[in-house]
Amino acid sequence: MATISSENDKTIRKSMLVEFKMPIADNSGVLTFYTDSSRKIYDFTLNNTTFPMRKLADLQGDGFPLDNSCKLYDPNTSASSLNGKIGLRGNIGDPLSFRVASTTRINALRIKSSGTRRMNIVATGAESVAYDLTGDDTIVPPENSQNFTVFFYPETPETRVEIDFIVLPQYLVINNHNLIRANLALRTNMAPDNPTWQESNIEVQAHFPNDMMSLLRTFLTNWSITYQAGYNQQMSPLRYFYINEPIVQDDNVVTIRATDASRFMEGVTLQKQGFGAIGNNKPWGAGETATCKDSLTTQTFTTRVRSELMKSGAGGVPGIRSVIPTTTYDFYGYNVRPEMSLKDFIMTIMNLTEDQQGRQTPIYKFSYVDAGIPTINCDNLDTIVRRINYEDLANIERTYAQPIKRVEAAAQERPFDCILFTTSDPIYTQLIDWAADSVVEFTPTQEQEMAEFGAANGGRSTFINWTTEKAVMKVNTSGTAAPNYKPLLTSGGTTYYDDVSLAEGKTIQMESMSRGFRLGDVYVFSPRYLSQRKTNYVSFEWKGDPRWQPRDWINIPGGYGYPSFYGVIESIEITHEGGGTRQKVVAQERKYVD
Amino acid sequence: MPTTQWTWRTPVTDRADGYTRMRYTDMNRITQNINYLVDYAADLGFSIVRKYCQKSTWTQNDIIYLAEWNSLLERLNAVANAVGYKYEGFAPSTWMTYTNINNVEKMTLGVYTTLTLAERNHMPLYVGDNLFAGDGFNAAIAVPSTT
Repeated sequence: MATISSENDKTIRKSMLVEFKMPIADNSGVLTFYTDSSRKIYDFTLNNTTFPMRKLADLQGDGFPLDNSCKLYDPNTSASSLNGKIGLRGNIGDPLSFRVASTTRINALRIKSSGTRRMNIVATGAESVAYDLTGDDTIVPPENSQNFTVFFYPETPETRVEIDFIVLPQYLVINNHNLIRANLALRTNMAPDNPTWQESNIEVQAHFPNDMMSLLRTFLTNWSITYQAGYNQQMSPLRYFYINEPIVQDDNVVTIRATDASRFMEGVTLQKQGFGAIGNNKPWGAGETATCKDSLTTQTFTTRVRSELMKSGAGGVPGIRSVIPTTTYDFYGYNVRPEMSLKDFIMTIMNLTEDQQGRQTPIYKFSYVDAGIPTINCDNLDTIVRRINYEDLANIERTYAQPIKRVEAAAQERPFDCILFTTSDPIYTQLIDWAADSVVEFTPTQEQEMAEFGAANGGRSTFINWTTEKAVMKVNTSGTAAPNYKPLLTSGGTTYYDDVSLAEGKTIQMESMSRGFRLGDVYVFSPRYLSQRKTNYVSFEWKGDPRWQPRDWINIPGGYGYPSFYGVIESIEITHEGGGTRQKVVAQERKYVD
Repeated sequence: MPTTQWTWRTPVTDRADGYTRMRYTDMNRITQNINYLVDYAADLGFSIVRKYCQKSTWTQNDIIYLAEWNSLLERLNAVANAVGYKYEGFAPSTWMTYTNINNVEKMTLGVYTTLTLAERNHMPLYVGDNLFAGDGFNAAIAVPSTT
């Protein structure tokens, strides 16, 4: 029972199964086979890819092993998954031939064979075309082939040609059998501020002994290619990529380059995605997931994420609050800012939820469909924390950033980012009042508090865990002082107003102190400066786990001279080459005051 | 020696593990030895029909059919029964294991040894369920009185 976990526990693990698949269009005919006298035994199973080939007491070559693996041939034993099958087997040293007829034009054939390295296809009225075989091959017959005869030639005079199956493949498969090298880069946007969209991509090189170009040309730009790796008992999630440049075959080496679905979101606004008023949205239940793949699910995604954000806040877990919460579970008829791009929206959602960092069990887990496009999953129990020890790692690099002690709002007239509202909005006055009356203070006793903008509840105060120096910023909106967006520090019971010299670290300026978005008459915010703390990194290489993905949490216990690390994976590079796998991981530290 | 078209070849009985391979030459030796034993037994007067294995000549092009192997086992058991040889090991079966093939060849060797001894003594061995050696007669014999 080989699983990724069990194999990774070993010093030397088995070679990992790797599979890329691209759908082949218009290859759905029905094949009929007409055998001739060149066969020795067969059982009409050439179109069955699931039954294994029965190992027979075959005296070809050097005979068969006496380990009970080979069975006496009984023509009365029917083919099955338990009994295996006979397939089609020729006479020793002789070519094996048979005729193939299809109900439609054949674009590709997949042939699994043994005892042969060479075949010819002779279509009616056409010249014979030769092919090299490697055991499990996808070949492209002569154009417009529908009926033809195939000839298989034995590898040696003492070898028998055995055909396991011949089928019309629905996918072009690249796996351990023909894979030369595959590089996957999975990325997300975790820049401290103003994150840019990160695209994930793959590059795959595979060996095809025959000319595949007439088939490869049908894989147009944006054609999908899926990736999976692991072991029979445990494979990684299926990841989708899309071809972004023409596939080339050079000297039998096919190179495929593809990226995730990011480019399909170029220029797409929520309005274009059909994001409108939604009524009677049901609450998001534990264990459910929402995705932002398409129009429908974008609505669901938004609704449920926001719902859950508010629910978490109301449920006692410090979370992001809306200005005007309605109830915990029911939201009726709202609109997301229609001109907001889908990319911006996703990044905002991701960073809003990321602002809940610092907890051992993050509330929101992002997983990925279409590579970089996230699915958000709300379930504490479903949180994935990748645990690994330093002894399993190589090329470890840790980088530390200067701590931030002071954040200044550069543009006082824009205290909130990502919000467009007009003076006619009923909330406008409240927001402006809030901003204008704000006075920033610090207290070291409120470290675990998160931002809360709760105008509707009457308490317009915000508690923000800010630096790693046990300093916490407090926004008090009840005073009448002049606008002041400069956070002040306290440390060790002493308050240092504006006195940067007494605090280590740097001063940064931000255009706005909060960020968020508007959902109709509801505003969702998070304190922007939280993200400024996310500047410590670790990078390392190891033998790899293809289940890992960006935004997974990672925990490395301290040891071997390194301190413990707890953080979030920002990027992963996986390389499958020469039957081996290695992985480079970059993770951003998540560390509250300790 | 029997009058036969088959040639006796020394059986191989010391296969050590499952890595040992079964070649067409092994099948030729096994089947032709069994056929030889059938003729040998018949020539010595044992009660056996001169019927041979279903397939007696093998090449690399052959795949062993279940029916062919069963025929081989049937002939081997028939000649063993005819000469009264009882194999002490596991009865040969259809399993393609090194121990099973060893058993087949050990059995042919045992039958061959039995027939060789019978030929040397110029007489067929007794073949029956039990052999009584005369005990029980003692009580009936009148012992002369000493008085």
